[in-house]
Amino acid sequence: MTSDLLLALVVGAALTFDFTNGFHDTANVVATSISTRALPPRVAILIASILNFVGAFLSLKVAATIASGIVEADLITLQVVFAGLVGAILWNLLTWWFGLPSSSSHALIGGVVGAMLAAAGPTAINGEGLVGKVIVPALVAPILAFGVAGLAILFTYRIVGRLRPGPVTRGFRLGQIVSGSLLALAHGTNDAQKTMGIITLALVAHGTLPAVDPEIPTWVVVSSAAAIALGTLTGGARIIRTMGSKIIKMDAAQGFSAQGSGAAVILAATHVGFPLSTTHVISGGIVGAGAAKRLSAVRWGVAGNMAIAWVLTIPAAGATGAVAYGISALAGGGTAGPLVVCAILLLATGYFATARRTPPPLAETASPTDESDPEPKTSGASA
Amino acid sequence: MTAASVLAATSSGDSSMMHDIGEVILFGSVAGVGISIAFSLMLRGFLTAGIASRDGRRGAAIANGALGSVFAVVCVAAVIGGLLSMLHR
Repeated sequence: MTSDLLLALVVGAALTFDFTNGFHDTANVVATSISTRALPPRVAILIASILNFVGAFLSLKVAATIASGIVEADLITLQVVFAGLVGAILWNLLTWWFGLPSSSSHALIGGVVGAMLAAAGPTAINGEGLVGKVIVPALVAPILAFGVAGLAILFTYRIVGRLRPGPVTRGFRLGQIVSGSLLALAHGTNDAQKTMGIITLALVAHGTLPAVDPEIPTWVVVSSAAAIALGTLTGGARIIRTMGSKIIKMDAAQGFSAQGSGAAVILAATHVGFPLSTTHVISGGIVGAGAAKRLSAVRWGVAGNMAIAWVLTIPAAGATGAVAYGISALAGGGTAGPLVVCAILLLATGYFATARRTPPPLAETASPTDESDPEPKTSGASA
Repeated sequence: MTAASVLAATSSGDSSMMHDIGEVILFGSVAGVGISIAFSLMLRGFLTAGIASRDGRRGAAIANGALGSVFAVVCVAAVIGGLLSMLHR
């Protein structure tokens, strides 16, 4: 039987990943609402946080799509899952630091694949599954959302273009509250369940739950919902700025088209059972809504950086997961290995936090509002 | 069933990947473009009805109000459909 300590480590890592998932993906849900001034930042984040929490309870099917059909299920161990989670958490934090929206699900898949490669070699990876469940959806999601949001905004401008902009803008802002809420619910439903699935796996491996038809304990549901909601509540302004104003300066109609199209594509994919990344869909929608109005309105350099981050997500999280597994194995595996990895991460975090206390020279000349205010300085809210 | 197979507990069904992609593109496009058109027509209907009402054009106000109301119902139905799709996935 797996030790209680290893179980606690995996559960802790899963909840930490869940927190970074909410923290990292807040921007997907709230950025457009904030940048078009449909909602004040704090209210938008609070609503997203509450709906992420509620969304986690909407469906209790174990979200086991993570890694299923991609790695050999029988070879997965808790050490592999732990190392995969470490890879995903570190990649989420790194992309957050650079303000780049990237898929948390891909980070988790990459982490698990990398750890599995280190643990059992390439034969444990199902290349076909990786292409079908990860690569193809990653290509389909942004292109589809780009096209749908682009078409949607063209129709929208055609329909409301001759009306007075003030009431139209107010109307689309109200619509954004609803479309943003749907996105937040969908995000909570999809993403919190990945954590529930991983914790359930850990409990089964530990012997706490039966292997056949395990029922998810209430504390797993509540803690997963709380972790993603807390992460959303503390969501980073860095990615919100990138999504909300650095790609394009959006008006309310564009914001509604991006969010509405994004929600529709995600729900259509959910209905069919096709795994699409919320991040890829919303990012594609934002770029599409901007490009349809005017190609030069899109800052293609920022969009290119995002695309690079998407391409790098699986290999980078995979490499980190593999290194984490390697360190864990070198330290003796079992419970000791993950403990050593935790100790290294704590030391690194301490070093990083200490280094951050000494501001870099440029920080003295930076605008004091640069970090705290995700709102753009210009309105750009006319339809 | 091994512990690890909990991770593999989902099934992608028998439908092929291309079929799934086709459905997502079809449903996503129709729903995404449709909700934007419906919401825009709702706004147009209500705003134009308001203007017509202020101008004393009663017929135009009623017609545009009806247009806005119909598409308001469409939008509400779309939101309810989205919620149901989340609940029954």
